[in-house]
Amino acid sequence: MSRDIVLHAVSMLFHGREADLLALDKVDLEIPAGRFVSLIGPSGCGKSTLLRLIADILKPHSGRILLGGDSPRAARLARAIGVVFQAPTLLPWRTVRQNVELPLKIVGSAVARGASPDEMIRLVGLEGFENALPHELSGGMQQRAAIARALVLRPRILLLDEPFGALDEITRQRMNLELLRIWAESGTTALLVTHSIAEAVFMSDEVHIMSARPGRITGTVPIDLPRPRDLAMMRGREFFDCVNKVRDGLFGYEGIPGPVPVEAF
Amino acid sequence: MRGWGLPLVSAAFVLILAEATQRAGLLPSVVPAPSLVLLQAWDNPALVSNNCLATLGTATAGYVVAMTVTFAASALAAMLYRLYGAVYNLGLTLHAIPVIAATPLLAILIGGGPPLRVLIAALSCQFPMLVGMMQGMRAADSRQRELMHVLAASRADTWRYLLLPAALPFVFAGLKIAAPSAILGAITAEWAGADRGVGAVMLNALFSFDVAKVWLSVLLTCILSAGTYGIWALAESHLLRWKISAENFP
Repeated sequence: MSRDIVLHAVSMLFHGREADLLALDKVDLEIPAGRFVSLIGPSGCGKSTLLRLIADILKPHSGRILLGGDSPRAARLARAIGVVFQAPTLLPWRTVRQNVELPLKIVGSAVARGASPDEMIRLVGLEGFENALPHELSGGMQQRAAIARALVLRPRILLLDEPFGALDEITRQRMNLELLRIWAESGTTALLVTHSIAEAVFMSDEVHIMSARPGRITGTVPIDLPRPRDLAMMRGREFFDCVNKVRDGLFGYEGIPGPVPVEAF
Repeated sequence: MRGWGLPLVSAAFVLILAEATQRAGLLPSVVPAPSLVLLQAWDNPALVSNNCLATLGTATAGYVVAMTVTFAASALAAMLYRLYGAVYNLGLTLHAIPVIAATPLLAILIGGGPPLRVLIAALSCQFPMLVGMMQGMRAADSRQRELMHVLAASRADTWRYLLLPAALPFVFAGLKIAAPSAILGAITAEWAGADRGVGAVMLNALFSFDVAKVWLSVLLTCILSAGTYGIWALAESHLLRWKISAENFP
């Protein structure tokens, strides 16, 4: 299977006012094409930074990143990357359809590979809201529109930076199921940044565990649950085994004896 | 036309009250009966229209000059961020100069003709425009800029799809506030010696102690100021429906 996202010894240094901060320390990562992979770790472990490096929003201090053999910059210019941010980041003066259309407008008519906006709106379940303005939608619906916008150019890689972090638990579960369906239909390689253990296990083929200061990948848990996934699986033994492995990976590494606060749920 | 009832009723109430108290001899002679002021306008429609048009012409010319210059300046500041502070400070300094003192000095410099009046009108209204444009061009937040970066949008597309639409609410706020300032600037400039204009009428009436005519010129000033403000408010309510809808959303 081809590798879609390859990181080799990627380090990231932020120049602080008093001292430099090593946000990422020689991170290696390989994600095969078409997989759904999660990065999990405590706040400040550099998981969002890693995602932003892959999206070519930041440049690595050292190391190499290849996306299907191209540099992140080349992949970005070829519109091979779709990004969903923590906040929906819809343009408030554009309707849902106009927001989903925006990438097509920017690419121009020269590129005919894009999906139709209405097709994408249907895929994320927003039909009937095409002409609504963002403020007329709930948070979950806004994030659906943002996902439709990220997918409208049919990117090879979909990057998701805690996309449902601001939603309530119930909406979040529903959106996770939706996202899996959308991902399966779109056939992209998906990389999800999250701090919820259950979410990471439920969504992924593989969960990479990160630790903070400096940010490192300290372990990888393969998730062998069958697809398509459903909520009933979350009650199964295999699911809990995976959750426990990820939890051990997160908290065992710090080596703190005694009870530790579980922020992940 | 919602929300017009109360202002109209209260204005009518004040007018009737002034009329009654003046007729009863309860008001000093510098406050004429409103009917007397309106009668002046009724008897002299040419006086009203000629002078209003002159002032409106001067104010509009000054407004357009200020709009052009502040747009160029703020676009420059947006492209060359190093100039941001300098442009802002220059606008503020010009705004801080008292027009009433600057007018005679400028008259000596460039003469007392129409160019002086246009310049004074422009100087009087430039600062709110500048603030609106400068703030507006920075209104797009970092997330939205990141989105355009991820979409590999060109500079032109970033302006077209993000920076300009995000700037519009601020730009309109500035343009609205600037409109009455341009009228007041034009009237102040007319005091420096113009043969036509609301300011000229005001000055003549003051010197001849024609109280009703002074009040008429004040009334015309108010109408011109509020009217030009209203034109921009109307344009805004049509162009920025999304903003008004978002602000009124429960």
